[in-house]
Amino acid sequence: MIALLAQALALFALPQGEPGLFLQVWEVDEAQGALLELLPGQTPNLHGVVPGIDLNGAADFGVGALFRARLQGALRVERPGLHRFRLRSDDGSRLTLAGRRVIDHDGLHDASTLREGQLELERGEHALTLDLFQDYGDVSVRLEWRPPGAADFALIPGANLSAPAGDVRVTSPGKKRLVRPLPRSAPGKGEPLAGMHPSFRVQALRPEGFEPRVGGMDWLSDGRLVLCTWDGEVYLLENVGADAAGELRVQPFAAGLAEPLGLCVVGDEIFVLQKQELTRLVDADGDGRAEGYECVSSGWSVTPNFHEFAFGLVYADGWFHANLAIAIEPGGRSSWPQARDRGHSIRIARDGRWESVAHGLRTPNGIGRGALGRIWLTDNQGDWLPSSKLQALEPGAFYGSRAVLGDAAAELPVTPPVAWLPQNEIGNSPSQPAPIDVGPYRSAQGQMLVGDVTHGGIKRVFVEELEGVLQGTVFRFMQGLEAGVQRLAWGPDGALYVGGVGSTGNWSQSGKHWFGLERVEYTGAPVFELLELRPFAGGVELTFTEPLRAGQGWDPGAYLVRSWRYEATASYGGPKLDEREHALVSACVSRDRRRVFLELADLAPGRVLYLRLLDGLEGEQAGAPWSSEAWSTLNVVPAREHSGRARWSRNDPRPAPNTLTDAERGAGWQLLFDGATLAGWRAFHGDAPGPGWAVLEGTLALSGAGGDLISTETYGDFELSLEWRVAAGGNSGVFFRVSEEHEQVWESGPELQILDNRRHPDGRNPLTSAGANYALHAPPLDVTRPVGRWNRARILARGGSVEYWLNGTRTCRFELGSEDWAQRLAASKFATMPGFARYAVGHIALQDHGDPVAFRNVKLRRLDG
Amino acid sequence: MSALVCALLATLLLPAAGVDGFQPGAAQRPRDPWVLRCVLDGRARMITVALSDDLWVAYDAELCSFYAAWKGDVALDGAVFTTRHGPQPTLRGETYSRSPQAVLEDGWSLTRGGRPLELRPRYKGYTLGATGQLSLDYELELPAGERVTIQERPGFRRAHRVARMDLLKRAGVGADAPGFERRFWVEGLPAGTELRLAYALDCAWLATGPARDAAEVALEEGTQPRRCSGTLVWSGGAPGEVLLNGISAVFQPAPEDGEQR
Repeated sequence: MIALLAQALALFALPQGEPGLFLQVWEVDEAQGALLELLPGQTPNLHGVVPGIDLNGAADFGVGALFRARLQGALRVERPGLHRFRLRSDDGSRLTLAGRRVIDHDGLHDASTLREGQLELERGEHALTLDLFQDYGDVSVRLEWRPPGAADFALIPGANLSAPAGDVRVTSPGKKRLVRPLPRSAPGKGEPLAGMHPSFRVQALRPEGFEPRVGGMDWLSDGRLVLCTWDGEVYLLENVGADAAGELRVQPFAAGLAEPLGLCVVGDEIFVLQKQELTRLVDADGDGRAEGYECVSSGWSVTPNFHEFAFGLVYADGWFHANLAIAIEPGGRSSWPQARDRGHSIRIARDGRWESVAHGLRTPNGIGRGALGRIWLTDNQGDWLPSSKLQALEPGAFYGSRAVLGDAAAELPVTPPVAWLPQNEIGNSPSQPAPIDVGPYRSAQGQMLVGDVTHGGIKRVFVEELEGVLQGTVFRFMQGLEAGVQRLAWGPDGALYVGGVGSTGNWSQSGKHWFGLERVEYTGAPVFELLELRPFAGGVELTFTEPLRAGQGWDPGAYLVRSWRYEATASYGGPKLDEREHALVSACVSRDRRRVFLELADLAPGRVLYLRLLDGLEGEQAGAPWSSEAWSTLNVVPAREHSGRARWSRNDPRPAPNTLTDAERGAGWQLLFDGATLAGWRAFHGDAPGPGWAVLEGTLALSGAGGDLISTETYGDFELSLEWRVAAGGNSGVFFRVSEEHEQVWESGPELQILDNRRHPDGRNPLTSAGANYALHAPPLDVTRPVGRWNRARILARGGSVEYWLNGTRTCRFELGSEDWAQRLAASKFATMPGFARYAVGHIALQDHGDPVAFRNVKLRRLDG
Repeated sequence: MSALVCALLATLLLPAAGVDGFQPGAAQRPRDPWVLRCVLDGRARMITVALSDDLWVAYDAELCSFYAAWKGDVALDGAVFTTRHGPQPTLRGETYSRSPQAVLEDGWSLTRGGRPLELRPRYKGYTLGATGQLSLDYELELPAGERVTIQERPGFRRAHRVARMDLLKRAGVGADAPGFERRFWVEGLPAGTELRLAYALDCAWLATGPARDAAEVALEEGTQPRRCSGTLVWSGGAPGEVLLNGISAVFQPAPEDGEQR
């Protein structure tokens, strides 16, 4: 296969030219983030010969930002042997020498980091290509070498470089276009959700002009909503509920409060938590405005630091519960020293007495009721806190922040999080926890909600207590709200009221308002998603909200499981440590198809387990999963055995590989591969399969030179189903309606591309990525499974109508002979092939692209009688 | 800070209507809300009161103490106001008077039988009365469990409503100069107990005492402004008795350009 970029640019002849290297620069109009391919036919904006590979700034490149560059020529080697290379660049770069990729230094970075590589080189000239991209800021590239015998690295002398000569070099103005690889994620599949949960409906609530940055909400017994804003106001809202008789009215009730971020109604008395005081608001004369601002309690220590918020409120057993944030310097570092009571979760009695309940918090923006009848709180990433988290309020607990006690805190045992909220994956600035009791989500059964100001939306958490330890699993749940979520309150009408907030920097959700008030109602519409995740000895049990479709869930290849751990240090936040993937040994499904037990290797406590449902898992009613990820905090891996798995395993409905069920036979399916022989296959333009093709452990495998393999029979209209597995960096393909009237299979047959998208260069271009109709139609998304797993592919061909499917997603649909088809064909390399896609009947072909590939369960049924 | 002419003026608290003998003289407040809780000048538990365009005052709720009086407003800076992380609100304008730290911290004291009690009032909140009057509520709990309640009502009035015109004229203070009144009601102070409040104000005129019983202090004509300090005293009496006291002061604003005194 010919790289599209090389098609676009003339291939330079090897050295004859002037000393130095040939530099080409293409200006682009968007940030790249990585080395991307240029669309075919993009002429550079600038070019020239540079004396060596030590270029800096716009002076050397001709432009300072947003460009792609290539240095090309030859490296002259005098002494054969192992040559070492050292590459620094800003931004990313890649060195290819003698056709081999020697250094990959891609990505956004400055020139302070370097990458090294080495290569055995013979004496003589070797083609050298160095690709570079630049977004913003400084730009530079410097390549040093250490040939055999050299004491140290040094710049490559100009005399050892030669730019190709004798070619017509053209430039053109204007911004050049890049090819972006297929997205690997989509909302709910590795990305935040884009909208409201299918079982809920969100309704706007705010009248025009009312833009509250909500700090707290609660209800009066007459159904009015009381709301405080971070800006210091309190409002009463009438006619809020779904059954309200009239129009919603907003009544100012109080004002001038200091950043109140908690509010509670007890016995129809309104309590608001200001930054430094719990205050009761009194409307003694009943005129709808508070005239009394009674200080209930203000004994805890405060300083003027801007970050010393008080977050609340939960009223339980006669006490108001609140959290006190620590002082922080602008930029995020904890202040030192701290006032004594900062970082504490406190409780305040009605008579003003207050006491600490737990400590070691940082920015605990949320405290609320939740699962299992307990009080929960969240905390935000910072020093001594690698990631945001959810904790249960436990008297006497120390949660880990050393901001107040300093080194003395090192001696204290730390209560681990119930659920880590891995930063920027499922959390960023968590806010209030809340219970949930609608549909299948029941607080008494471990379910709860957590809002987030910056990652946004509302997450759902399932918690359970195992061997005396609480731990939980977080799921994506809701987005599509008008602001970052700050406060939650269930209303007397059974709806969830969501208060939003926002400010600059990390204190708002991108693209959203900085204020918000909405109602979220449960509609009961079906949804398919993970409801619970429970660890057991040797695996985890998943519970879904509805049964899986019959036959699904049994393929361990449909699940991805990774884990990592966190370590609290004095640094702000912390990376994932010891991240590893867990082998899926098996998957078995309960009789009611609501539960799956995944047998996993190497489960260990003290880690976060990440589960991703890859494909092939759908709910009976609701179809595709609403969200396919879970983050489970394993404080313990219990000793309990899963009592059902042995029984469930006996119900595995999957037929043996390379067999047909009675139903399939009845529907007209035939096996094209029997699992034992290569019967039904031969070489293209041959009588027998090429030597590289063989049956290996029940697969039709290519492990050496074999040439393309074709079916002995031909097919017109058909449905083909197969599974493929390619080696790392591998490339292959499935062709249909192939004719032997041509030299190559691809001169007649369209190709369903098989590829390791991540490692093969063709994966940088959607048109040549797995699932593509090669070079003509791109899939919308990368739906391949991790390399080494089996991928399910289908081709449906009915006359001119063709569909490709990969792992349950339709990746292409096209109409042969249509105008769209004609336009694409004319712009492709196939335009000069008169036989391409012209045959109504032909062979199925499996490609030998030089890489190991295997197939199994290759089945076909004719659709043309 | 502008230089202020400060002189003492003898004044009689004007007779007032109502049981408390006090007219709030409710002026149009310069902002809404006119009572504000926030950090101020690096102090955390503050109450800012925008009494008038010519007079803002602030109290430290932690210490139940008067902090400052000024003409201007508050620069509301900080995350919730201006999105800036770090800065906090500060007093802005022409400061008439700022309490010395010692008075701020130790303004209140209590003795019983001549011996000091280590007690400080606790802030209990504030109320906005029907007539627009602000009441700040403090409370003291004595060792035997007695509760003493203190209510302070700050008010603004023009100078001519605070003191006699001839006194104003003698001290060279304009009739419309800003006047500040601090009225106190103390209830539940047992016999044999004395409650004291130290004060210190930089002002043109000051008088103390309960209504109709003011001690006047005045500067001679031409005397420069000065710090007026002293102590209000409440002596415990019969159960249920309400003890009154107060401070009235007039500030002399800095002259406008070209203006002469």
